[in-house]
Amino acid sequence: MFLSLALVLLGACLGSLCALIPALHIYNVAGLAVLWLVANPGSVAPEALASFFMGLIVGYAFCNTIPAVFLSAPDDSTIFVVLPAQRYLLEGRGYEAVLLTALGGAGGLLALIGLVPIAPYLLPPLRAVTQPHIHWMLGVIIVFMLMSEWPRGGTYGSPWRRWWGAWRSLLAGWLTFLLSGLLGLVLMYRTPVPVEMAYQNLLPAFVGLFAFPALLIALFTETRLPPQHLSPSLDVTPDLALRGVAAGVMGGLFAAFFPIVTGGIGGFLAGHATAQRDTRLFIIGQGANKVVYYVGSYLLFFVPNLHLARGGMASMISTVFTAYTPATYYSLVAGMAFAGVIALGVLQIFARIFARLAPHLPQRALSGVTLLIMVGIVGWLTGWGGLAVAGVATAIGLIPILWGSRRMNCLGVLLLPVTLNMAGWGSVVAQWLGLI
Amino acid sequence: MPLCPSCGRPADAGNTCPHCGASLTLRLPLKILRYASLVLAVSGFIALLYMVQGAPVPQLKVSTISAVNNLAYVALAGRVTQAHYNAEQQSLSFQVLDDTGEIAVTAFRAEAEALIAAGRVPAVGDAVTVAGTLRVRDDFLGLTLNTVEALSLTSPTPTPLLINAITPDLELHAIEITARFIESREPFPGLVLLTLQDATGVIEVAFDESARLLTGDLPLLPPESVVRVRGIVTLFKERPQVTLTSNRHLELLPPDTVLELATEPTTLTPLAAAQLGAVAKVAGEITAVESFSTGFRFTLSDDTGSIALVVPLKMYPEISGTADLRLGAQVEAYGLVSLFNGEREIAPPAATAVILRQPSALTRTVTSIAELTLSHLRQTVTLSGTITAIDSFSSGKRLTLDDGTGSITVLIWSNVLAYVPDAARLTREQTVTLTGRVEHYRGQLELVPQLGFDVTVH
Repeated sequence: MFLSLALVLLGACLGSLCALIPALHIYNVAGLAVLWLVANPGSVAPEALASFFMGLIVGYAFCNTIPAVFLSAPDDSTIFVVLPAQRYLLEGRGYEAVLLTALGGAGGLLALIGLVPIAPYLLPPLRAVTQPHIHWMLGVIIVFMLMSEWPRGGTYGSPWRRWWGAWRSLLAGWLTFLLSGLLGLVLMYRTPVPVEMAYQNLLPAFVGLFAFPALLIALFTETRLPPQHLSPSLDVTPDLALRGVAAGVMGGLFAAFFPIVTGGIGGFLAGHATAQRDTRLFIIGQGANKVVYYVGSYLLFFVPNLHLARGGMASMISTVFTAYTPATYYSLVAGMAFAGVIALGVLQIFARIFARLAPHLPQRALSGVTLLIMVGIVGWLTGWGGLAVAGVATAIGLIPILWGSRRMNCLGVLLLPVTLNMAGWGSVVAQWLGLI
Repeated sequence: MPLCPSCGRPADAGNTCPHCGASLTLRLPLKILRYASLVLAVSGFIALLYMVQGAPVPQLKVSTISAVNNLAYVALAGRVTQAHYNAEQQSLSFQVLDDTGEIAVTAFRAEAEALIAAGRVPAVGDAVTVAGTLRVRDDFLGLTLNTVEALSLTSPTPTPLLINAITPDLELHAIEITARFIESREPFPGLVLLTLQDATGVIEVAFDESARLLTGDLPLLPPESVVRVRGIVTLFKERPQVTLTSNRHLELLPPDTVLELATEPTTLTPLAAAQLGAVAKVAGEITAVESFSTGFRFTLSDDTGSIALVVPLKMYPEISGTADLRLGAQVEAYGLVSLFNGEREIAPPAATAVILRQPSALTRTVTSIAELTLSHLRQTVTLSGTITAIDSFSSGKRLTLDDGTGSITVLIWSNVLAYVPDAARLTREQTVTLTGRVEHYRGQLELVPQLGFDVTVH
């Protein structure tokens, strides 16, 4: 038990630290741990790795808000935080924005703990009921994602110019979805990533779609941030916080439970489902959503009678560890709570440091160095093939930024191939593309 | 005053900014980047597609798969050892065994339906090459088949056999038997076992629920009807049985069908051409002899190859000229060809099926005991000497033979001893000549005669 808690502590600290590095996803760090375990079998007990991973994911889920807010470098689960957080940042309230997400995250973690006793009884039948319908549910999510973006602008000029002005960002969004989806099919059927690193197959695509475009844009733009105020309290009422947490938990749970639906999509759906318009509530909701998504999807793998491998972390631990007894589940829940306390504390420290440093940070240089590090990591792990994928993904990821459409459309990389496969059409499209 | 688009400071009318020197007239609009991003994304994707289209799917061996291969799209080749259809989940799964290990391959809904519709459902014994996405779990190794085209399968051509020729060595081999239907039973719901019999033996044919769901019910078989079955040899509790993978592989023959018996063939078959499961007539020279608890195994050789002639203990004394059935003798025999420990052997149905054509013309050179070394191990040698000690035990006799150059233990098993002429005279101080195989036991060489007639008491 002591070793388990020590590993959770280590994981939480490491996860929190890694979260500060823009574009470095915790799944990459966990992937290295798996690689090390495969190369040195028996050196670490797999259950110890499970505890370590719990610490990592909790630390990351809390602290990844910091680069998203202060450096505008989101991952796929924090893309919606960037815009409202930017507004807070330019008003000198970046620290408060981070703490609002932390409040949501803490609420999300409490909600997960509350669900722990009933999950083994509730989730297995829920899975059995939903399993045969997942393909059309994913299809509906895709349609909603694409249809819920409206034409905007287009008020001047000839009818053609007006139409183009209104629809161009929408069309760019659809093209983003299509191209990223086709890229996903390539990765699924004929990936250029070496077979010995197949478990990191999506790494170059995700880095390319989400991290590199933001870093490239940051290289060519200079944002001067005002001094950040370290607020001693938060501009939020308990009622508002509760509503934000509830919306975020809904989205996070949906994303954690359903395959392929990531935290970003979960947050997007929950936002629409609850029709919340208050920015504070939105930020709290996004904070709760990403913590519930990341931690919840990992925890699902240990739920007795369920053992659902959702999300990258669960997928990785499932290759080396099987939880045979409920004791593992409850001990990891304890680890989760412990890691949550650590991560919350660490987050406040880091947020203070970043709030003080942010106005003075050489953003361009930071983006350049991060870009080089990430190119190195992608190249080291996935070779030239992975770099080629990352290059194409970066070009696709630039489209929504330059055309002002939703970056979430990049999640077509997962949604499209998996939905097509579940519907039985994946292989048909792959054949059209000459992949099989 | 207009501002410089590059530095944002006031710039007079002119071609360049007085502050930063940027051109004020020949400028590239930033919107070009937008279109460049589209071109880059589309052309980059096309280039990537072109790059991967010709790339081969990596082929792996099962034992080399580890956690780092999770979700890889790979190809595997092997033989199907089990197949199962889950009608409720509409999934087809089959185990593929290569020379390093076994993996579960699963086709879900659309792919399973497509496989069934195309009549390409893998069955036990089929050789398959399959490409799909690896699923590596701590307690499970699987491959998901994403498309029908990613599966290529070759069903083995069945070998017509008599039931007695079906041995555990034939596991996963395709065979065909023609036999009489004795009875049908269902030990548990979903598994039908048919008992079939031919002139050489009895065997059970298994037809499971998956095969029934995929191909339909078996035809009703009248008692004593004659059927032809094409199936795969599988093992149940180490005993061979025939697994039927389709109801079409059981053919009810006309009521007047007469079962072929194991009759004597009219022509001789070269040893190399003696087909597994056939009744063959062969001839050759005895090039090795081995006794075992229930009989004798004579290795017959001709110019084309060799085969083992297995004579049961009961049949051995009934063979005409048994005493001359020794190393170097020319023998003719017929019987069912089967496989044992990977080697073909022929089982004569009766003593009359073994004919001694010509006694051995080999001259047996006596070797002195002192000459024997480990290099003689498993070789047949002849020794001559005096018995200096004798020890009887439940399974035979142990003699000590001394030829003046040295002494050696001679082990005569009881099934061999039974055929030693004048066995009662095997006593101390008696001179004997023995031919046998040199063995090694507890650090000592010993001689083990394989035939009683190889022991001569002078």
